[in-house]
Amino acid sequence: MNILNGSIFTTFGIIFAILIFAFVIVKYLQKKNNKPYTELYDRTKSWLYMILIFACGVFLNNIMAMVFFALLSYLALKEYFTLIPTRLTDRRIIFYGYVVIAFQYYFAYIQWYEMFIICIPVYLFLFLPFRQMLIGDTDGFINNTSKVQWGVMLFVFSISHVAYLLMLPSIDLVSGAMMVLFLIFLTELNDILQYVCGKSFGKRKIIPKVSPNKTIEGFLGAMILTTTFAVLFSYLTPFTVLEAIGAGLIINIGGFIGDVVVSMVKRDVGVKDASNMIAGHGGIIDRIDSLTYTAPLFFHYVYYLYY
Amino acid sequence: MYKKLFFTFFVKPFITLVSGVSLKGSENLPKDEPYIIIANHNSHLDILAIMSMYKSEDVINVSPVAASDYFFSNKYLKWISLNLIGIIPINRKVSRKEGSHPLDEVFKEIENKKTLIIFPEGSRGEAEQLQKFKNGIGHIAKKFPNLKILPVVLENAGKSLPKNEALFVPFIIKMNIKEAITFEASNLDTKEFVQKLESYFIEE
Repeated sequence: MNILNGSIFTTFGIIFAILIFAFVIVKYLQKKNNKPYTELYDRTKSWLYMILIFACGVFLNNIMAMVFFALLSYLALKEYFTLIPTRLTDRRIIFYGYVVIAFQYYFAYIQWYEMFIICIPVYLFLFLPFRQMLIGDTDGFINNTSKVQWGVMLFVFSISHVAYLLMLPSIDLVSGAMMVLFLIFLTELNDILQYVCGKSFGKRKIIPKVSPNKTIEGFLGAMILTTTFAVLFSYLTPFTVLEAIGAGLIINIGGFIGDVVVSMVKRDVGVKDASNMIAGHGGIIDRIDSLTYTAPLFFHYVYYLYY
Repeated sequence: MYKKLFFTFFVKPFITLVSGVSLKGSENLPKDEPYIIIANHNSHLDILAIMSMYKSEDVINVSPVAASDYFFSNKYLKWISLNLIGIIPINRKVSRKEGSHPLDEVFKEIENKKTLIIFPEGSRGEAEQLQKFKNGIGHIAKKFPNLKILPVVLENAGKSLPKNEALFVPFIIKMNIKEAITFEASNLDTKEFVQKLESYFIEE
């Protein structure tokens, strides 16, 4: 049981302390300005549920953790396929997009690195056009096959790196589970910090066409804070201070890019949130968008440095 | 009994987790009175998706009206239809006889204060395409002019499991519950009323 690991347990203690602090601030704001702040309250409450589900889903048992991340991929992929325009003739290849989830997470679980890395970008990507060719609908072949490939890449391949990271053998006393907590905690914290810094002293828009709420100040503020937190929480990793700063930057920049890239998908189809599954947050995709970039980038950073 | 179990352990988990629904307009559901749900019909998932809106103690009172010539075509399907889904059978093929009406069974259930699900298109159409509504819903509305009729617009079920396909491919089913209307309040004749109902589904 990973949750009983001292560092993980302490970190969850800190996370819950931050959450309680957030609840206190929301209550204070409600009292002071006499406004309900429904969205802010919903968001904070949803964070509580998400953190509890995450803690139980990932840190009790490794097989359960694989199922947890596979389910996360599945729900995100389903949201993606619902969001984008698809045709009836694409049903078969979409089906294989779902099927590959089981294989990908199985390879992560048994730590078969080569297969884990090529299963989707080589075998699935070569198979889907073949299957589509058998159906024989030539119109829109390139577009529609690529759509499925891109979705699987983001929401299965990328996210499954967290699962592989979890199963990595320990270095010294640092287990994969600790690094998973580090990665996900900082990725989500970076999202929040970008939002908070942007709200507090954001002036100049960074990419007005895609995300009107993102500002240069928010991005830089989060960069400084996330990097600081990366150093503070580096007890969850084997990193030296310099390496921790590098990890902080990867998570900060990667998280930002993941967020706005998924925003592009949503803007393309003309919606604000991918669904309304999580109160105050939108859909699963809206919550794990940053992770689609930070997970593979952070994983390969660790893998290059230590394995 | 079977229906409740089937609903709690299969329909609800399957629809919410495997398939997924996104519900809009749930505040339009009438409370404490029977009503008729009309929905577009593209897939067998339609019935399950609509049933999944209810709590397990309420779902007993919700029954889909379905064609007996299809659902009673073999004994397994018949058992499932009657015991697990609880359909109210009507025969699409029978011609009107003296003194009886093909919708008699439906009228009886409405008088019993059941909530009914009716697919006015009559049968499952091609995926994501609307067929012309049959007049049956108009006759029902005329006979019960104060009964609320609740249009529920379904999307994506026809993509998940279209007619004549056995492969289920998950998409989130979108359900949009519109405001209920009654025949009385609409001030239209039967034909126009059916057209008005149809218009709820066309604008989507």
